[in-house]
Amino acid sequence: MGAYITHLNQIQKMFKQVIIKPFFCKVVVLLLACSQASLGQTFHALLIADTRDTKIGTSCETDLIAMNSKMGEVAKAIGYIYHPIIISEQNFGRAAIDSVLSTLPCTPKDILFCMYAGHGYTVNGRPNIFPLLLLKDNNGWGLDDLHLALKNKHPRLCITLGDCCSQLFPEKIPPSMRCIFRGIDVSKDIDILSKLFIQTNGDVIICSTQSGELAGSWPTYGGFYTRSWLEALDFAIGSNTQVTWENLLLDSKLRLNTFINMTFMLSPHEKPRQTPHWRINYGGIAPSPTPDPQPKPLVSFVDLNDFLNQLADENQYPLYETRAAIRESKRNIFFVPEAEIQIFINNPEKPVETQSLTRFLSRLVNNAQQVKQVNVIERHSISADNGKYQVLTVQEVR
Amino acid sequence: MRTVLLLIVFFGYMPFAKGQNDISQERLEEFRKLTEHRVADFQQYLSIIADKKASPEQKKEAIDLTMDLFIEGAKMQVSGRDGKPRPPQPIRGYLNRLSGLDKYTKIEITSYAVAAVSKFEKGPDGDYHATATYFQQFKGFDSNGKLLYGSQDRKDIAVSGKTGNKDMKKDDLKIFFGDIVVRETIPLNGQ
Repeated sequence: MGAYITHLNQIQKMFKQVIIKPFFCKVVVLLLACSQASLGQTFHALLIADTRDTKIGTSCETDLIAMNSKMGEVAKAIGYIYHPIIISEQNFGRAAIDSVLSTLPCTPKDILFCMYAGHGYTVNGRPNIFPLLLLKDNNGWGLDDLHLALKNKHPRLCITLGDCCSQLFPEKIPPSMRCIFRGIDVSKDIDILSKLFIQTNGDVIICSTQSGELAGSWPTYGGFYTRSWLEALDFAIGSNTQVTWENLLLDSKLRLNTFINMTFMLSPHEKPRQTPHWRINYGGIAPSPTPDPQPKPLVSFVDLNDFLNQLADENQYPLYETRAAIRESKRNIFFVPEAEIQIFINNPEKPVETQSLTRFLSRLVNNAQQVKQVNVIERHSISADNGKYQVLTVQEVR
Repeated sequence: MRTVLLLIVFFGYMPFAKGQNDISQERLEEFRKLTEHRVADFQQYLSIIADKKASPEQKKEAIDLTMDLFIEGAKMQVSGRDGKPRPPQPIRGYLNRLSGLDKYTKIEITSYAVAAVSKFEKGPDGDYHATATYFQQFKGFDSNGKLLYGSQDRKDIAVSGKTGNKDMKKDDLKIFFGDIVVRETIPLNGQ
């Protein structure tokens, strides 16, 4: 405060020199000071991508573009200044990262998000579950080392996402592209973004692989995990009032598994094993839930999503009898008997069909081959007094 | 003069009134997409119903799900071994016969091309109508795996999008399948 007052006095002197009335001068200076304070909330996005690598360069570039776009939207929606810092092409390397870290103007009001898309590896005996990064000028720095360096800039919230491995699959055309959830305007869903980016303090570190695993990607598709993460974020923004970092990352993992199972259905021997993992440290205080006028459901959103996608997963559960058994054993956990399902195509506010629960679940089990994924829109669903779903709004991705 | 003015107002209002009740093209496209999904579901159900390995429970479920798609009284047309269309039969009768076809040890029903659904157009009855074309391949084998009969059929489904239910919003449609007609039959080798 003392610095502000000194600053005010200095500016006041300047204005006095050009003969402006003192009162007017103070008002102008006060306005300037206020605007200075409101500019302090910045969303720094450090995007590190090995775009020049001969094998993964194109997919890294795809991830870079997608993540830059999405984080820009997030920053705009929560009222933060968006500050992207891109390290790619010939600058990809430790030297550029160190340079950024030494000059990054990060304050305790800021969010610091980092994505690493490039090669990663691990060695026998490495006690750390996070991989080492294959930077062009340094091979000994771990993803967790990067995360620690970012945390030491003391942002309010620090998130590091590494989508990396030691080698990639051969290039091939994907049999079908998963559609990214569309139709929701990010700027309208500030409550959910607020939960993730404003009400959460602390740090999150995420890696797309565990030791010895490979991270999949395709050139024009991008990293499998990055794509799944962005889909999960899109979906959470549009649909899930219960969102937390934990269930966002669980949903990302579920989407990745579903994608891999579907994609490698015909060549299961080529199926990669990719197990994303993460560590979340809330800065002393867990985020408080957004007040919700509806009764708090007793069912877990992630479990419900998982249940519905199991019914449609012919790859994991090839037998009808198995899927039917799962259906019968779990339906009463999530739904009241007379529940209805609203199905939408593009807009969850305008479903195209309403079905009884029985018919919907029966359809899922018998159409597992057709339905790639079921997206549940929790915020457009209705819970009964006992917390189970009375009306569920879903989208079938085919 | 007054009469002329009244006529102008009346006929001027009529198109406007009609236009107000029409469903937007964007919304109709969503229902067209839904119909595509339901045609794919229908083909999947036929495949299950004909599959000798499917359990009676699954077949029954598939038959019930199929019947949910159709308006009451809808009929299915099939082709005979000579490739000529036969008189249409009730859908349920067709499904029951398909489920119990015992002249073949193994039956495969698949699609040999992607189904297509035309745009929905408003009919004089106030409902919306479209045609869904699907491409079905039927193969029946004996116990030695020899193909006894096979054909590729192109069939049209009359699709209706019904309005007017008092519980529905004004731009909601309830989609029903109607009669199915064979347009083309190509026999496969092995007959």
